[in-house]
Amino acid sequence: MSRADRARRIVARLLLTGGLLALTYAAYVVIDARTYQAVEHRRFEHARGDAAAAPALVDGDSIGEIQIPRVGLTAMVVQGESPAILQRAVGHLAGTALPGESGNVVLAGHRDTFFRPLKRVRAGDAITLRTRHGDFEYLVQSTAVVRPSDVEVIEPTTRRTLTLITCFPFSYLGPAPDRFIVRARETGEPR
Amino acid sequence: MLSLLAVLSVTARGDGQDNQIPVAAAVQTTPVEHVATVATVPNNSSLVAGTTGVEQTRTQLPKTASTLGLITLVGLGCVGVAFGLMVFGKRGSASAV
Repeated sequence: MSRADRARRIVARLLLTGGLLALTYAAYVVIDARTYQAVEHRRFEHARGDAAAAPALVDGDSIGEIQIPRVGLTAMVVQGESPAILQRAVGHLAGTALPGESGNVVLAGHRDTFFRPLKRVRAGDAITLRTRHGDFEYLVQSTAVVRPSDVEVIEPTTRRTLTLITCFPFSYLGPAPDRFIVRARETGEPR
Repeated sequence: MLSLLAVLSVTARGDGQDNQIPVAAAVQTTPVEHVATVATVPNNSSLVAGTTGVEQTRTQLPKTASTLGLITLVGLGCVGVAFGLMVFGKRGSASAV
C-alpha cells in the first residue's frame, strides 16, 4: 500500500467518524425533542381542566399546545426561551401576556423544527392555543420579516394578540440573520 | 449610611481633676440620603411588563436559530466524502495493479 493510499484511508476514516458523530448528535436532538413533546403532551392532557390556580411560571413549565391545522403545526408550549427549551418545545417569552390575558402573547420556536411549517402560513389561518384553562382561537392577520433588533413586535398590545417568532430565511443554514413574525388576533370567547 | 464613630466626652474641669469619661461609641443619627438613580434604556429596546410584575429590557428578539440543519448537512457531507475516498481509493489501487 502506497503512502498516498494510507493517507487517503486515514482521512476517510476520520471523515466517516466525524460524520457519524454529527449525524448521531442530530438524531439525538430530534429524538429527545419528540420524546419531550410526547411526555409533555400526555401530562398536559392529564392536567387539562384542572381549575386550581397555577403557581407562578418558571422556565420549563408547560403552558399548553399550539396548533395551526392548515400547515400541520402542533407543538407543546413551554415557559422560557433558552436554547435548551427551544430545542425541545416552543417557548413563551417571559414578561409577555399568557393566553387568556389581554396583551401580546409572544411565542418563539426554531425554524428547522417546530416552527418550520410557519413558512406556509398566511393571513386568515386559524391558530389554536390549548391551555389548562381553555382553548383560545386566533386568526392570522399578517406576516413580516424584521431585524433581530426590531423588538417593537413583542411590545404589549391593547387587543389580545398572538405573535410567533422564528428565524428567516427558512432555507438558511446556521444562524439566520432575520426574524419571521406572524401576528394573529384572538377571536371570540375561549372554549 | 450609618457609621460608628468613637469619641471622648469632654466636660468642664470643676475640682481640678480631669474627669473625662471615655465613651465607647456614638452612633451617627443623621438621616440616610437616598440618591435617585435614573435607569437609561438603550435605543431600540422594549420594556415588557411581566406577568409576574417584573420588567425586562430587551434589545434583541429571541434567538431562534438552530444549528441542527447545519450539523446534519456537515455530517452527511463528511460521510459522503469518506465513502467517496474509500471507493475511489480502491478503484485507483486496483487499476494501478
